[in-house]
Amino acid sequence: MTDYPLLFEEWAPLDSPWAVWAKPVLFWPLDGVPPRPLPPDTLPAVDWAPPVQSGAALIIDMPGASSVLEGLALALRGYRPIPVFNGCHSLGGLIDVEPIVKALTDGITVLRSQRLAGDAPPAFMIDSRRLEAMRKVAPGDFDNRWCLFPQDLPSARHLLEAGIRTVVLRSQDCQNDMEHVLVRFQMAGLQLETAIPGSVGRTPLRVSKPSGFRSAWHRLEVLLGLRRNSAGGFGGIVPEPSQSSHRYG
Amino acid sequence: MSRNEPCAAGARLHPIPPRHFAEHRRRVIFSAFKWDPQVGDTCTVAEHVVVLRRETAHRLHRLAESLADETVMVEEALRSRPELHNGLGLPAPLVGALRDAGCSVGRGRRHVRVMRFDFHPTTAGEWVVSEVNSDVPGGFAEASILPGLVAPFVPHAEPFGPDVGTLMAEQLCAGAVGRGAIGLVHATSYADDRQVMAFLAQRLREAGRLSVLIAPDHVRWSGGARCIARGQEGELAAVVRFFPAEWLHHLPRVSEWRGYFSDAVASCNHASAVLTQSKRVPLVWERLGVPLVWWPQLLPETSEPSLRRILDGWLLKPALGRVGQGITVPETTTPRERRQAALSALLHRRAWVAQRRFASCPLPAAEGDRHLCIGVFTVNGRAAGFYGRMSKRPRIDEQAQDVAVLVEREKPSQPGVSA
Repeated sequence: MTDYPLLFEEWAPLDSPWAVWAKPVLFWPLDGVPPRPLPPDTLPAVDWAPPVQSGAALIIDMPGASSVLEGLALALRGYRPIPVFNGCHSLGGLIDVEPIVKALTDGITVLRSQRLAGDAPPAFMIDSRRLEAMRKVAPGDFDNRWCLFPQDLPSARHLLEAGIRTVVLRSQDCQNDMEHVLVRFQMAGLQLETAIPGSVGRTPLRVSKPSGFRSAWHRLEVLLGLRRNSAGGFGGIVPEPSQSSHRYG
Repeated sequence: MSRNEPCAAGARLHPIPPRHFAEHRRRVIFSAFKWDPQVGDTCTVAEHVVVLRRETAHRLHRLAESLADETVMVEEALRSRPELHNGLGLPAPLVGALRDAGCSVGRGRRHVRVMRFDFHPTTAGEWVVSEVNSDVPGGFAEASILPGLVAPFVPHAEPFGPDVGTLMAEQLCAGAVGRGAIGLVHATSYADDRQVMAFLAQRLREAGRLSVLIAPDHVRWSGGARCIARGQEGELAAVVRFFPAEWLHHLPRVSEWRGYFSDAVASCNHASAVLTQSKRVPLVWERLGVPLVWWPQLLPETSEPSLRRILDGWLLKPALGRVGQGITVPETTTPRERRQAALSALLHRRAWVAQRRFASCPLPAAEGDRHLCIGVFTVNGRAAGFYGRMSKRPRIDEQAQDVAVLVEREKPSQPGVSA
């Protein structure tokens, strides 16, 4: 059986200043199996990534386990992959998180082999399918879709103070919730770049202010605007995050 | 006041040794179900412990129990006065659901009533109550588990009172009829809601009861309550709702959300708890004919929003605001935000309330002063545990840190000295 708190500790080691942004949700005790080493050719080429000393932070917004594999490949180049997966594991979930859990479990041998430096720059791993259902939503489905909020990542100020000057988005496109994050970085003076899978290299990225930007009611608006669907989760309407919490009491 | 001296209200901070903090944070995540330990650049796990004087702890528990009794009386009275419901700022569909449900629902002994009263120390050396989280209070895991995790760091202090999670599980098991599972209803897309329900599931499991973690529209209400979640179908013996009542009407009609206002099954909390969730309740106290002693003493003076109140520096609070959202504390809001709130309050008075500001007494810490809020839970009228939160700013909101609360141990009596 896998010891998930220990697994989390390996992905979010105490000596990394970026580890505090790792999300523990998927590491919550599951009926895990021991890690199996990844075949050597599993990891993708990441020649799109800037050199590790260039002052760049990376956001890997790719589907499911491929986000983890990309993060592991970046670890081989000296980046610290940070899991920011915030969807629950559940029976009948609209998003299958098992492949992510398996990649996090099996990938641990790669991570261990790297002995990354404490000051390794971050590569935040996110599931680009977080707002997509695998099937048509029906009564009885468990809605484990989720949304990225600005407070799920470090602030622009924190990144700048840590010597980060550029943020590179590795994704097929820039989703609405990601725009809310990136536009804050842009306004604070961070350079944005994008590296689209299937394309060569990186290109500058310019993000326009999304609607509802910095609304004082932020996450509450997300909830109310979503008209919760039959599973009590997002109703498929793209949320518009702002800054506050949705917590109740 | 030095750092180790309690404030006049009887609370002080004790630091967690820095060399132990990272490991402590990790234990909080996995032992105390804290799945949101970081919000932006803020670590939501405090580097301190709050230590209360023993007499302070007893006093807060007694006050909470008195307030719980009065809140139940107010709720009873409000159920019978549907003409007052519009004035509480409740959404119209909810007012309709309450009216249709009638005045007898939500009263049975099988329902479990959980509330959290938020106390703040003031510069006058007293405690005031800023609100009751009457509908869906949170913080069960933090209040139940954190004290035990920090106890080794604080000599001469210990956890206090029954733990809210265990007490809730006991009461739910007592109220649940039949062998069905207990439905733990929450917004499934949010990990920070899931963590609350995962904790309760563990406590119920320890009490020998099966539970299912489900969404608000996974319950069907004809002839009792039935779970329709895929793979977890079956009768429900009770429903615990961690989804605000005022959001229920956003669910599709097919979800039968009005069932939450029925007495079909034991519930915690029954949806009619939303009546006392409104911060406008004090505006109708006098019309209810309920003798209130503690609420008027402990709650800052409250009134309808008006230009005069705003100019006099009273705070504006949304009638159904939660976790400090929208409260116009000057140190935590911009002039623009305050202007917008004032305009909204003057145009939509029923959605707001004005409240005289109290002077929160910050506790000194090496890193700077911290404002404190201590939530005291009551479960069916009995006080249970403390949920501590603290903030650099005089508003306890989503940026606040969770802080464990311990109580000074009783001093052993000296041998040979009689009372």
